[in-house]
Amino acid sequence: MEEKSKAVLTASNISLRFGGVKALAEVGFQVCQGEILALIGPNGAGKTCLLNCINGFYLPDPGGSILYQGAQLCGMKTYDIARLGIARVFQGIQTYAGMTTLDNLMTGRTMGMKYGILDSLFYFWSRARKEEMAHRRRVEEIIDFLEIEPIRKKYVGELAYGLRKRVDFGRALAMDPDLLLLDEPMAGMNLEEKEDMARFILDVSEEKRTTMLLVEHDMGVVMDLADRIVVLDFGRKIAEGTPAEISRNPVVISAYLGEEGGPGK
Amino acid sequence: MIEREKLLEECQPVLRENDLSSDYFQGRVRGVRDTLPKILADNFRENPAGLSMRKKDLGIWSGYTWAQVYEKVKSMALGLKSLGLERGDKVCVIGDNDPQWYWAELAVQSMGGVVVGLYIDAMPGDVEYLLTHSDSSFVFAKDQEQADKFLEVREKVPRVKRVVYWDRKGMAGYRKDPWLLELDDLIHLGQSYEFRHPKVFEEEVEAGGANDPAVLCYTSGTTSLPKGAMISHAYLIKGTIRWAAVNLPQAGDEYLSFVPPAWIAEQLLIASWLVFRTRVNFPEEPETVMENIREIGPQMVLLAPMQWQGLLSMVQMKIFDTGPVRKLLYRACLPVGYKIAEYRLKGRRSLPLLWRILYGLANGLCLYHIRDSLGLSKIRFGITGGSALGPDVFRWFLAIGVGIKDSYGLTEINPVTVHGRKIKPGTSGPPVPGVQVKVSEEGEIFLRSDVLFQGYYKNPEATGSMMVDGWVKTGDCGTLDEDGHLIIYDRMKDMLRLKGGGRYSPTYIENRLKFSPYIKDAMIIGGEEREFLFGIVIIDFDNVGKWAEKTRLSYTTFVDLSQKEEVYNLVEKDVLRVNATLPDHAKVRRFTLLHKEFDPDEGELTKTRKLRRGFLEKRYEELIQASFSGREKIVTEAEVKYRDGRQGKVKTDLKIRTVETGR
Repeated sequence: MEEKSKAVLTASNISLRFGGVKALAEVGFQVCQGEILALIGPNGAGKTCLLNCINGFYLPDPGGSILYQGAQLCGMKTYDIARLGIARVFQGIQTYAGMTTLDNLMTGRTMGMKYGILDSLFYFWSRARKEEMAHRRRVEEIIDFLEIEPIRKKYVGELAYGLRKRVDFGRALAMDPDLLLLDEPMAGMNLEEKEDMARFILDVSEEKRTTMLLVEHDMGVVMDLADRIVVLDFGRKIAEGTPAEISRNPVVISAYLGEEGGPGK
Repeated sequence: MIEREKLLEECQPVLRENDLSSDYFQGRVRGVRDTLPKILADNFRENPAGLSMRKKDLGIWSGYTWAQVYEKVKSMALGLKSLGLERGDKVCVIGDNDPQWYWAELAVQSMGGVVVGLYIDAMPGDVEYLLTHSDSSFVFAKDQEQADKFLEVREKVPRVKRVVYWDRKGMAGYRKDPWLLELDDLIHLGQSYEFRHPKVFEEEVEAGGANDPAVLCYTSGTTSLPKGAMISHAYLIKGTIRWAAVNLPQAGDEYLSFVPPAWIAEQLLIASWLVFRTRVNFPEEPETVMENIREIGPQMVLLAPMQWQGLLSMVQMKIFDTGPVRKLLYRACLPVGYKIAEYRLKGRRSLPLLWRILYGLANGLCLYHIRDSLGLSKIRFGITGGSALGPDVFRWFLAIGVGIKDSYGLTEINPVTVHGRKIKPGTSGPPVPGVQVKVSEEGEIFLRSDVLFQGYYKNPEATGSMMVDGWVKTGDCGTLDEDGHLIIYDRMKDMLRLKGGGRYSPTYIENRLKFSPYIKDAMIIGGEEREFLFGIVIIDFDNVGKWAEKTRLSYTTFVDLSQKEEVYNLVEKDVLRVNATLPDHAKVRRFTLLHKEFDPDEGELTKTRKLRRGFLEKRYEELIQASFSGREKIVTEAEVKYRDGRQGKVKTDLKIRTVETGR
């Protein structure tokens, strides 16, 4: 872990309140360069809330801070956060059903496109065409990487669930992110699809050294993929450590099994 | 030596029978040299800018000229040489059909090496056996999936010096391993070697001779461990010329490379690509073949019977799903196609005017569009081989205007027969020029030809038992019909008798069953101790699933769907249809729908997806006994080996259905 020890994202003292409900309470953690950090916890523990804070969908209570490469994310607009190189794969499916796989992936590139309306009016004479070709090439590389050639020109709405998730993942990759937030990328997949997805995640991590923050319920997947794990329960961080440490941690076990005297009381 | 004039002379009768001009064919044969790398060198010299192969990569078709192919082959060959490849060394190649596969083969052969093709679904155990048995010193493996197999058996194959991979996807973690080498690095090695030793490549190519072994073709081993047939350059070149005499490929014909190059048929087509300068096209992925075939519009296609059948069921299912107008058109036009097909089969009588008009209509409204959407609109001939093509499949394709020629050949001696102008369904065509066919008294087929393998590698006993007085003993039961077309019934050992003495061929019945879109696979069980035939049927999950959706039948898994009463009724109809074509004693009396598919990974099928009957009969012994003792269902517990190597057990109720025997 030594080589990866540089922190890219530091969250500290994050609290979030919806009316009287306290969704997050003084949570703090670091994500280090190039690692896969898993965020786990029972339903309602606040995992997705935490991702939403990083993404800028939610604004944490005053006093909380999320530093990404030195920039303060709290209070920033969502699109500015995305511009910093933070991409996200959503829970459930958030692809554009009426567009083809190819177009869905191309939307991931829009942020990198510089040409304007005027350029696209004179498509063949302007830089629009050249730029689009470069982006298309990158998208084709992702298609090749995710082995989705057969569905390149199919409408995403008619694809099976597992494939749609793969397209969603591909769209996030198309942004060439530095930090990838994965919110349950394997929910609802069968064993084979899960194994494929796990392999893609590992390959991205190995080849691109992309830093990842993974929320996932499947413990087998988490234990295999993650370098470190942060455990949340009722909005509080209850543990942090390597997969081996976490699987031995009595507090975590009781939180998951709901035993007497657990911290959730 | 390749005796070109003798070859041409032998081909004359067939050439006269063909209407197509044979000038191009004769010209190419007169100029042909005696090894594949030499022919490549000629193509490079005479037509460097000609387009030789295409591969769809990143969504775009990119082409390679003969000059580019030649340069790649040269660099790869010299790269291998600089790493210590010597004449006669064996090199394994495993991967999907890719330009790199072809280059690797020619690079190895240029240096006097021998190529051992492996099937992509080979398990690490098979890989180890083949590497050790063939004494391979290098390996070309496509990607991480294939390279992993070699890494797994690495300790047991000390002879292997390097594993070269050509797709770097997922290989990031392997780059530090000196045993693995990326293809681009091999090419660089070759280029710097050429700089230091110019002319070595040309000298090595010229040093090759017609009788050098070019390929070791391992037979798929239905019965025993795979045997490696040694195939020489002369075999490939002469074989492809004889085959071409019947079909006359033209310069620049588009060919889709899809069947595995580890199979002798694709090897002959590689030779055909070189000798006749056709253009070979590689699909983007095995899953995109149907899309790609349409973009290519090939003049010739070689598909295994199962794939032809797959095309047919795809069309049938799409028609099933389509709107009423298209359904009506299909139903109205197809019978016209069938009628015309019958006319054509009977001979070349001219059609009555009415039928000609009807055919024009049917073709314009429907048949042409089916051909077009299958990518077969430019096709001159489709070929099949390997096992028997169902006559129904054949008729359907003829009805939409695509003649499928059947062919017959063994790894050891090939080609043997192929249809020419006259296609006769149910036969494998007349012998190609230079091949003699003899049928023994027991009905076994014996063959003689000078396109003959050089024996099995390190297995002279097996070679000896294959040859009888210069004739090859095929082990196939068959006959020559009145037109001299070969008819294959089945393997000698697979023609079976029932207790009453009635003869039947399980394969024949199985093929007829598999024509149904709802049946994916079937195995017929009988034998001398049994009175009737019992069938284990595997449903086609996709198609039966769709049917269930239409009829509002709910189901969860394959196991659940296969045991539905309604599905049994559905399949029973198909069994009855097949039974109607069979003699009384050979009718299928009982059948069961199995709870899982036959799986090559579990040893139930061979790599070419043929049934391994002995194994299957043992595995499903309990089921078979239950069926012959008249039980209605059994509880079965099958051992299942998952793809990641774990083992598990599945417990299910299997019903056994008795088929109505009343007329």
